[in-house]
Amino acid sequence: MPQPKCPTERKKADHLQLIPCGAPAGSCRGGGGSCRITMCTKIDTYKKRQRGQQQIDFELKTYHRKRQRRRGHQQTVELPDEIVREVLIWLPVKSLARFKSVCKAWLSIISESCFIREHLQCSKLKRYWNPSSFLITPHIPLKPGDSIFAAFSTDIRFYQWSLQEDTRAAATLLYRRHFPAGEFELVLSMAHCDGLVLLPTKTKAYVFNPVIRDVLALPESNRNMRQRDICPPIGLGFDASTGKYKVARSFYRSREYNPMGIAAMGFEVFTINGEESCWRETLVDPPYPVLYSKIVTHCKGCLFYYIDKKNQQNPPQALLRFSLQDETFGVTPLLTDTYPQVEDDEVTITELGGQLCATFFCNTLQQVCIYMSGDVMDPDWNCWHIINFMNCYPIASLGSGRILLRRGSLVFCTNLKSYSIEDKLDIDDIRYLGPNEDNLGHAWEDLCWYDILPYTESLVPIIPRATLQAL
Amino acid sequence: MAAAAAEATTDGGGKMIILISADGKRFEVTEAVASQSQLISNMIEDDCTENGVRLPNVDGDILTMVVDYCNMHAGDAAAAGDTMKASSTEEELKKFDAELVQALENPVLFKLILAANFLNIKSLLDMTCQRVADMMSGKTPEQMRETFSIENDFTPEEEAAIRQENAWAFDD
Repeated sequence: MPQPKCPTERKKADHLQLIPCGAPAGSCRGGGGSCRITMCTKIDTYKKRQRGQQQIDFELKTYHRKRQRRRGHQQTVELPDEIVREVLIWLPVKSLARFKSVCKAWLSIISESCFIREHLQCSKLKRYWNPSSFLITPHIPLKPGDSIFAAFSTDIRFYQWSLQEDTRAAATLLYRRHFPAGEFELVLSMAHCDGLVLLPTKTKAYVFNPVIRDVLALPESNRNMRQRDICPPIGLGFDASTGKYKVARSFYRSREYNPMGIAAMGFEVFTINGEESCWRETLVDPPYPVLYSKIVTHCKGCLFYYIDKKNQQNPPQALLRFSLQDETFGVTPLLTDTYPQVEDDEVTITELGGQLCATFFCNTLQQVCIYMSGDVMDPDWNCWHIINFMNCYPIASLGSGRILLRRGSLVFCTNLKSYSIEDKLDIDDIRYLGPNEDNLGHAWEDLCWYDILPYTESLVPIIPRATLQAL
Repeated sequence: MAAAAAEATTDGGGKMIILISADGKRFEVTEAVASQSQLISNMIEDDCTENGVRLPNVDGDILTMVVDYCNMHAGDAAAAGDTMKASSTEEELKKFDAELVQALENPVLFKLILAANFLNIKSLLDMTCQRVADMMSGKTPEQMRETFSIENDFTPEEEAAIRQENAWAFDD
């Protein structure tokens, strides 16, 4: 269910309170036979929010105009703003973007930060009921046949794909952004959080909200002394204490690589829509260096990094945990008691249904084991499932005991109850539809690899809206 | 306690409450059914339901739907315990809910929303609001103004600027 409402931001039938309405609660009013349901009983229970005089005038004005129009209608029922808001919360982002131009009151409702959060909660709830929506982003090398270490196309495309029976054959272009050629070369794995997508590249990092067409190129920072050789893993997550989204990454303090030493690393954070538009170094350094070749997972307000154990004496079998709220570090033990023989970097970490998920290939069993833990601080790793399928890892929980797994360009559903693989789909077989690609079938012949992310659409802005501020 | 009709006890043991609609129709329901409405639940706690609960904002035909809904959902209300309705399966509930709102159009649907809001029945409010949202999702701003009787209070320049900013949302 949606989260409790934020009381200060809500408009509790204000316009009804402002009307010099003499009629008792529930009475029928004249006006050409029209019957208005007035919610006067509610008025007593709602505390009027302090508002500017200008806004009150505006509401009175719109109300009177509304009433004039009503006359002559047979029977109409008017919904107060507070209920209109309850309805709007359930709409898809595209409809809401269209309805911003209905009137000033709707524009203001849809743009409120509190509404955006409640809408996101509904969006998550819808995903919980029907977890079938994904974003697919292909990565195409500029020169066909090149390996993943070559230059990639700067034409970034987000396709929305729904796993439902009638829609799974095709993915539809949601958003496309063509960056200038050469702006970046190597692209790394994307991350998703609340409708926002982080695209790290060798030189720059970008955050998108593809459905509302927002793109932010994160500023450069000169802290990483080994920028030319190595771009350390970067993560995106939500800090519930400030309501802000943060991007965090480690950096090397020294230009030189010492094969016998332990890399000295610092950490920097960028806050999206924060007060300062630059990377900020954390007050404390990470207790262990970060393994650069791995991706970062976001779960429950923390980012999880792999530890670079090189030259360390007795390093922990654990993940490095970074709390986005207080920007401090900790370690989350990784299957220590269960599988001490498994190396951390052989485990794939993902977030699955709000839990931390560790997947690895067990040599003794010759099977893939999936472990889950709801507690991210002091995990209670439980074996959730064992799969007779090599080299795969879970992408998303599909409800009713089904999960979506990925292996290379294959995705497949597996049923945890029947231990059977229900559907197998090759990402190459999906048709990718966009303005210029209709009926072409495959959008790209030279697909090198792709990102597939469980996707929850949201109104969360990355860049401030100029028009709204002007009004 | 007075032995008023509203306090009569059924075979099942639950107290009965009388709900009275705006047009005077009377509905007898158990406390467990009625207390899905937060408003009535609070009234029960405050012990002011003896003479029936008058609902001057809710018409009889709307209240019929609300009572049907509450009867059906009494099983999943926490306080309900093992009432006879508890046997409704999740499947049946889903089917019932879908059928309840599917057939409704404005203004009945809007009246049901107002009733759910007034009586403070969160699940019914969510469900009816979702139904309206589903009906709205493909519409244009003009159609929205018509449905909700809203006057466009933007200047042509303002409207053009907002449309420009969200131009992508107007593509099919």
